[in-house]
Amino acid sequence: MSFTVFATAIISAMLINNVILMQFLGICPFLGVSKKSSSAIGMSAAVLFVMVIASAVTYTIYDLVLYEFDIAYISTIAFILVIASLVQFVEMVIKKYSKPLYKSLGIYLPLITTNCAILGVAEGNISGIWTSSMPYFEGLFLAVSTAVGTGLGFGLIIFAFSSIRERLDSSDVPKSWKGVPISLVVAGLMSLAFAGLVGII
Amino acid sequence: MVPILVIGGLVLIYISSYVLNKRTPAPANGSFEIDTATCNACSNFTCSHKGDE
Repeated sequence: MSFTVFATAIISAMLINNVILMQFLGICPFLGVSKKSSSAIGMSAAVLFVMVIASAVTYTIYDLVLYEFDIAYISTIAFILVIASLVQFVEMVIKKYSKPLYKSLGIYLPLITTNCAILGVAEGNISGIWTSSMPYFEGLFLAVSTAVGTGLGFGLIIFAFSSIRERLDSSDVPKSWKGVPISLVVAGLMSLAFAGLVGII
Repeated sequence: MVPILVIGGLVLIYISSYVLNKRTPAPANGSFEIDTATCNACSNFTCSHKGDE
């Protein structure tokens, strides 16, 4: 466990295996909550927050419960329930103790329950990081690092995309291309650009 | 038996967290500072997140 491992995991998850443009997860908020930069920032902050906590909790449950009792086959349904419960708890705590945070993130938290990027990272941590021989804390550190990188990558892309969409709204785009069509073309071009980063690590 | 207990336990946790969250009062003047999130990613007009084009 070192800074190099942490930095490599973050850069890899953020740029090379970007959750939206390379893994095609979380496309619904990517297209639906990217009309304004302010909405994109709120959504990405909420996703980062929940993704890090969900990764730590799901990794722990898998390592200490599901693997120990040889019931790893129920991991997907268990993770869905964990994430849904976690979102409720996070919303409740924020509602109770942090009014500013609730006012800025509150509306996005229920949307995160159905964000497949969260489940994708939780499943990816198990299939890509977890091994039966790996010490618990080392795996947990890697899982959380990956979640931080993935959340930052999600935020980077959704903010960049929302900025482009804001400029496109005031641009002279042909009528048939306005809205979703030109946005999908932009998303495709962004995906191609990020494909060029494969292999830098 | 163990999988049923695990899933049942998680369902109970979810139900209790949902009830607790609903019972927690929102902060006073808790109106959101940001615009309501709307989604135009699909054409399902029954979706509660469907926004105007």
